[in-house]
Amino acid sequence: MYLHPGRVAAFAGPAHLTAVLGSSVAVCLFDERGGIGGMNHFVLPAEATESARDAGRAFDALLGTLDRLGAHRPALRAKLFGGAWPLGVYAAEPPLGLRNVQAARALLARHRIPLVAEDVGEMYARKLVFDTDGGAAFVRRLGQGRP
Amino acid sequence: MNETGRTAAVDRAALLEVFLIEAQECLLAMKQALGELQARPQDEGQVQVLFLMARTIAGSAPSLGLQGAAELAHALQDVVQRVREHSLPVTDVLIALLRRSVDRLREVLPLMGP
Repeated sequence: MYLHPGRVAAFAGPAHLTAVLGSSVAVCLFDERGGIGGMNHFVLPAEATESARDAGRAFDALLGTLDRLGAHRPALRAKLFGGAWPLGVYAAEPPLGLRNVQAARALLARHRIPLVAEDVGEMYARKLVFDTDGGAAFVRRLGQGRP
Repeated sequence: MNETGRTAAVDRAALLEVFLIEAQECLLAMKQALGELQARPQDEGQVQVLFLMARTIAGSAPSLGLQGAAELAHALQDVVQRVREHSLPVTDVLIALLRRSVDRLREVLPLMGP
């Protein structure tokens, strides 16, 4: 199932969620006891707007969906992907990708959800596949290996 | 090609790919923001989205040699800045103009997918 920006999906049981990430970020949450997991995909840092596509709304929507599926909050673990920024391109101000990553980390810290893996930043767009059942994540960096 | 040259080529391919995906994310967000702004012209959050997204495209396009896209994104950013400063009101005409600019940006960028 492909997750467009601004969307959230979670399942009790095995499902593969995929997204292509530029400066956008995907937060994957899963119950470490297995069986329940989900992902969001947002393009805006929390402080920018009150939009449904921002980090805070995306995070609340994902947590709410996981709650309804019966996930145990203290057992939730997080993986974080995306937030690319082309180095050297933005000199004057923090790039969008970095702000998205910082917003996601702040939300995880506030909810005391341990971040167990991440692949963020740098200048690579990514293709992500997340397995909701066991919480395994596979990331391919795009634009590499094709000189 | 020597080692340095090949690295530079790989880096440019990666940079172009991340830029195009980022641009696609930005344009989608702008399109949605314009729809919401049309429904609620006083919604400054949507204006902020438009500004941030236009600035992001305008900031990264020049280093990839995409001058046309950079200039258009800059012009868009300038117009949205005037809305932010309340020197330009949100009207249907303005929204139609911004929509056309976003569509034009989609055309000049070699984007993939929807």
